[in-house]
Amino acid sequence: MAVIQSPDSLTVMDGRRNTSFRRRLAARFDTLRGVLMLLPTLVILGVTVAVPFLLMSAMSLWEQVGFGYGDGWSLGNYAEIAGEPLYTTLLLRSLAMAMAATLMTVVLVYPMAYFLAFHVHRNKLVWLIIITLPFWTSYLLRVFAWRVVLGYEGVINSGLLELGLIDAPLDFLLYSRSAVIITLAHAWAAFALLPIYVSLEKIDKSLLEASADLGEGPVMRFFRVILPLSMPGVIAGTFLMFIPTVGDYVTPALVGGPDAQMIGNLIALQFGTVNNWPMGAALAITMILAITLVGLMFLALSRLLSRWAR
Amino acid sequence: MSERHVMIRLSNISKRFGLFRAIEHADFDIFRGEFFSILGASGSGKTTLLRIMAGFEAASEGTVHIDGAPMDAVPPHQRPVNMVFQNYAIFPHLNVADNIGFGLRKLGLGRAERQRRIDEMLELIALPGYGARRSDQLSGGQRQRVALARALILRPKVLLLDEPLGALDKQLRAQMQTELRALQRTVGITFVLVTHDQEEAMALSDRVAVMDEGRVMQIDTPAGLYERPGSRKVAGFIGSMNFLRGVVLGRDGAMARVQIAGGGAVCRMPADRLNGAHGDLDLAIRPEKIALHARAPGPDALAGVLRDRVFLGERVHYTVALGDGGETVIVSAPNTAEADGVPQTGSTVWLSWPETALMPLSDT
Repeated sequence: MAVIQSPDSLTVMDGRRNTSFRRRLAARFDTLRGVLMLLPTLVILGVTVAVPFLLMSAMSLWEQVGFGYGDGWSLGNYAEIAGEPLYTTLLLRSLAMAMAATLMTVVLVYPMAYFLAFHVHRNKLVWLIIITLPFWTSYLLRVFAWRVVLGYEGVINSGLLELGLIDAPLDFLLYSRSAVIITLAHAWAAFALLPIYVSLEKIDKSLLEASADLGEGPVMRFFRVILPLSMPGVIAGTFLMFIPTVGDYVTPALVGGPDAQMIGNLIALQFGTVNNWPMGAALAITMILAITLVGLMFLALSRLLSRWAR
Repeated sequence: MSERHVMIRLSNISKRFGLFRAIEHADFDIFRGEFFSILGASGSGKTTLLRIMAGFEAASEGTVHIDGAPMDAVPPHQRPVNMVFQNYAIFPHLNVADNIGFGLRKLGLGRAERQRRIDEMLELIALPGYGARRSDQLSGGQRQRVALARALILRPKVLLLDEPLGALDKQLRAQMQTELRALQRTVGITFVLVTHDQEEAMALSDRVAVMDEGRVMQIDTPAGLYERPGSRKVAGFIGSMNFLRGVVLGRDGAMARVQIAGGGAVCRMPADRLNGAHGDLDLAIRPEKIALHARAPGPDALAGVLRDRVFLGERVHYTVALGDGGETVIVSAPNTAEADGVPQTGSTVWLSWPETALMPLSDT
């Protein structure tokens, strides 16, 4: 074979050198093209996220003095946040309520996504549209709708009264933490649903047949194959839902009572009536750090769990 | 054959998808320890038949028995069969060892015993030390072996293989064929292989079922299919074949006299092969069974005109037109046969063959 090939070997070598050069050129061009395609996003992210974040960070180190700002930098705002129980209570409560809403949503939305991915074979798009239909209305409207449902003379109370199951309207339904959690869970459901659906949809159906073939019934198939393979979607959905809900202030303002206020409401106050922007900025930065911390803990936990489950 | 242990019995299996008839009346047995292949083009129903055995599809009619037990109400995860999937279906979130050991959980083995069995399997598939590899670090051939090990570790009564070599390149495929055959002999498990590659089916199998449009056309040994194809479809599917028309003229003891259309010559063939057929007849003959002569070897030789000659190295292929440019016949001869001179295209040549070479075909 070698003897037969030798006359051609020169041209082969030449061709190879040529392709490797071309490949390098293409690779460099690829990077350039990637950067160009990312550019609009990078500009928007820079202007709307990075710059405000830097401004906020700087402002959080200022100090409000009367209607102006004091000279120099200080960590006074952060010291106050750490020392004043109101701030820590609100922050912890916000994290807990967002976690509760996120957990509730992921658990409720997972079966929906599962059904859509594995049992709907035709018109998936129609189903997706129907499921996401509530999210076509404004966020504010959805929150108001829950006031109508949960209110003193709302759908649930009047329904239960009509049925004779209760004598007086339940007043814990609205203006409570549970009202906030339920509303948040519904208002952000699509953000958890879509990534979970995509990760389930991607699972090769022959893997399910393989696990059945290897002796696993439906329940173990779910825990040993489907759940681990959909974990990226679950994690993405959890983050997409948890991060914005911690700082949400519309929902607690509209359906939460005095003891269901969240950190977002306090931040809004600082930028509004209280007029202490540096304090608001410090609170916002603290919240971001807290979310990051919880997020990292969640990631570590899920990685640990998946290793253990194997 | 009848006293052999039946491992899979398909009793009159039919499968319809809506109006489409995927399988019609499949009815045959597969014996213990056999390497059985189901051969057919895509859409012939062969994969559906395999999936019915595995339990992933329910038959519209008929029953599958595995080792004597009816499988009607048995879901896939409780059947004593394991499958090697076409795309191997390796679990992407598990490493090689965990993939191979996936089915062991049910057996409730201790950690040490589980590890021992996995190592044994890695040894068997010649991938020792690969246990910790991630599945996306494996080549196609390695994935195929892991899929095999994962199924064999459960010591199933039957191993079902759905086009297991289809995704591999030609050279690797030939190597895996040899390994698969050796593996089957080592483990002694009944293998049922689905393939569209007739060479693969011939090389690997003890018996082959040829399927076409949902029907099982013929079940025979590879040699039997080659030498005695029952129908034109089977004959055309396996190897290359010349098709001729002929008329039965009469019988002469154990031999029948048949006149070939086109050339006009009268040939003899064993009468028992005709199964009592008379009158017009479809005939087939393998290209390599025909001898080509530059001069008439005898009165029974068929005359024709050489149209083309293709040199292929070890063999030479001749295209010969019979009679008045009617039917053409391909002759495949070893290149040593041309010792007495290369015949010219356009010249008259004579064809002859042994009496047993001519095969009658049924209509279908």
